[in-house]
Amino acid sequence: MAAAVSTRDASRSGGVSVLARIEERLRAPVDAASLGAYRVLLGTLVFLAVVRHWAKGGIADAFVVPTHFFAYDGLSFIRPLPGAWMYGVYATLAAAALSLAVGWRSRASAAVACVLFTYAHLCDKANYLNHYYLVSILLGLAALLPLAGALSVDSRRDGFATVPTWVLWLVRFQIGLVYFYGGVGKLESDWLFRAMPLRIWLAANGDFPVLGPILRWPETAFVMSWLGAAFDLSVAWLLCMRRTRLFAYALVVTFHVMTARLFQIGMFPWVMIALTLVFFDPSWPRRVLPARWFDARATRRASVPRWGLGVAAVWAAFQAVYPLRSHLWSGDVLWTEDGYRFSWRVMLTEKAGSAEFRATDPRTGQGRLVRNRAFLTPFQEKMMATQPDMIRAFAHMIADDAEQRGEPRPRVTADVVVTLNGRPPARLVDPAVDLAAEPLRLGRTPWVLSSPR
Amino acid sequence: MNITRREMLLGLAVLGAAGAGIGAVACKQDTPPPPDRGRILADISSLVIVPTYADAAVQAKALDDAVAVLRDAPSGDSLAKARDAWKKARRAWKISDAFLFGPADDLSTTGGIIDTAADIAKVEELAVADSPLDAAAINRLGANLRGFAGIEVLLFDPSIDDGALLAKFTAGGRRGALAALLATDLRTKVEAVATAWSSPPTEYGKALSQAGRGSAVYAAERQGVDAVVNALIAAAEVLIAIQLAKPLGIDKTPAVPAPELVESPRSDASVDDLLAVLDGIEMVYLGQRGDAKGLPLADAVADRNPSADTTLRTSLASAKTAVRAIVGPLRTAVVSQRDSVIAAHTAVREVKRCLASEVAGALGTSVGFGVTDGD
Repeated sequence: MAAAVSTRDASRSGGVSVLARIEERLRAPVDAASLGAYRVLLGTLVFLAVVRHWAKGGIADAFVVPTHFFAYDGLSFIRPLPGAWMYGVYATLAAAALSLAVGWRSRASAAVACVLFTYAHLCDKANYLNHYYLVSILLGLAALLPLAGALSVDSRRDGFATVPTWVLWLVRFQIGLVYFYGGVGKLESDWLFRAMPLRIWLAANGDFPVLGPILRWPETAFVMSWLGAAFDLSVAWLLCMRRTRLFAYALVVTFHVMTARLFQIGMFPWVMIALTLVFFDPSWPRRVLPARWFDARATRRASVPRWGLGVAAVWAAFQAVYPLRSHLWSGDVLWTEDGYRFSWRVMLTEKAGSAEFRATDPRTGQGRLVRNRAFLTPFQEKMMATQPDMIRAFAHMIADDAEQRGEPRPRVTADVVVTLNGRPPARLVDPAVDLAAEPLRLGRTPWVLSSPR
Repeated sequence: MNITRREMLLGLAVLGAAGAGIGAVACKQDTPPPPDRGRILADISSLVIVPTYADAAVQAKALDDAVAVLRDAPSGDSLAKARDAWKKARRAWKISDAFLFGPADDLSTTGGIIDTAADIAKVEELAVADSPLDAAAINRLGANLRGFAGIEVLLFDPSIDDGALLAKFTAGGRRGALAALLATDLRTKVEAVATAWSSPPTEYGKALSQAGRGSAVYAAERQGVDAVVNALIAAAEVLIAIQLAKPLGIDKTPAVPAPELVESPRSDASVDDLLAVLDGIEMVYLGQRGDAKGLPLADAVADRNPSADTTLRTSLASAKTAVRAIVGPLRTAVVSQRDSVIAAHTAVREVKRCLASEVAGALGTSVGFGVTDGD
């Protein structure tokens, strides 16, 4: 008995000492230079994204033209500002991003940019993008973490040379998570054994210089599917290791340049190419940028509260677990999309759908066909037609509209047919269910029919 | 565990080889290469779209000429010829509803003027008014007084017999003058669209043909295919929602027929309009116009999903049969032969459903990666 107690004590003290060593290493100072460069790149990319979005007419398309918006569950109070005010939001966002890039009042700038960027993208679920979610998180972290120690206006009055190691690793973790869960999502049958949806997408790239004809081969889709999964699963780890870092970064650049050319996905590839530089040695900017760009007088550590590490650990744990929530429910997440958003599932589905809604007067039993375009833009309609929660939301819009016009609240049913990854079309929702009466549910929705997979 | 770079490379190579092996096993060795979508776009442009607009311009000129004859020498014969020319020009233009993108859409004023529902009362008012009539005055008119619909009001009137209508042309000559000015205006607009597709500086047909290969409009081939497929879906949607559901009144509760909302109400060319649009959809899908046959979009669809191709061909044939089976003019059928119109509506819905789901899914023109995973 005494021996057993003694062993347990030893193991506990060993455990404590391991934890203590980990904590000590996480609190150890590292050069703040790479996080300074990361901040410059993040601010610059957000600024460029805003300029690009504005120039392409994206603000009007997303906020001015639509008359109805798909609110996130529980966030229906978040609505676009009327008319030209959204341009003001984007102008302020651009200014905040630029301010973050130059490092003038960095945290406040990041906070403003985070709030405005997140607000703009919470206005309409139809506009959800994985990389918007990532940018919101990164801006949020930039508002909380000390990133202005180098390459910033702030550093002239309040410079610091080092940050705790955990600050750097939290940023790395957040970026690496996108790749890792992107790879985990690809470990499924359509991606690995049918090369879908890459077979469909690559076939549409016959114009790719030199490689165009090869991209149309089914064999190419298989090779790229497997390599893509391997890349996503491994690249974050490879970037973390010094010996493989350069090779991994070359892979990152190659992968994203190819996807940028193949899939017309705007800023996302460039964001990842730029921000993965944070995996390099924390001092890398000092080696490649002129020395005068760094304040030699700044020698102190960034002041970070001791509890910051604990909060970071909780955040990291949440980020590691939250993308897995779809596994709590039965059903095919690619079909039901329960837990699909905010889980870093990228490139996994090619869905196309046709959704017809019928509103029936409960008094007379007479029904009418709803013209979706009377409520939604073509883009919103396309997005809605394949996503069950948006289908339910649209049914509510139709019923609310009837009520606002003084009519009794109609029953709204939907006949929705969707193709998933090249399969024959299948009905997505139960056409007999009054979707306008369906409440918000967490997890599995009973009126979503079985996946054709 | 320390992993060397060599081991990492080896691991990736093994994974790649495994993928290649599975691909080789999964795909038949004799699988022909998928159809060249660049050639499909080029054929759609050069064999279907550009010739259709060229024909529309020829027919618009014939209409202009015929209406000028009617203006100068109103008679039963010249009225009949003008009406015939109107129907031919109308059909030639309606085919292009299947590819309403590019100039006809970008030049929205032009397109809108060509084909907007008329305010019949105002056109009739204008035909008897005493305001000056010249090209400048026509340019100031709203879209609902011009284009095919405006001319139709002047050339057709089922509420009176042809003799009475002809008398309106002979009395003072204003109706004929207005019709001639509107026909010239229409011809100019149609020619502008046709020229924009076929000639510099825009040469939109070339821009579509070269999508992803130096096109000034479409940076990627995929964008060109998207434009074509989305236009087909939009055309089917307009047939369902505007040309059939609204006159049937099934977009409202209770469903009250609205015959005044049919297109081409005075000429009773509404069913021909519907057929022309369906023909246009078929021409684009099959890459075929008359004897000219190119590499069809259908092949690209069949390559990815043969059943989608079969379904669309079948549903298109069924839709045309159902539209032809509409009993009587559409304006009366929506009231007294509703079942035949509802059957046509249902059949066209199948076309749209197949285009929006199966065809778009097979071609990757849905929202896909471009929208949910990047900007």
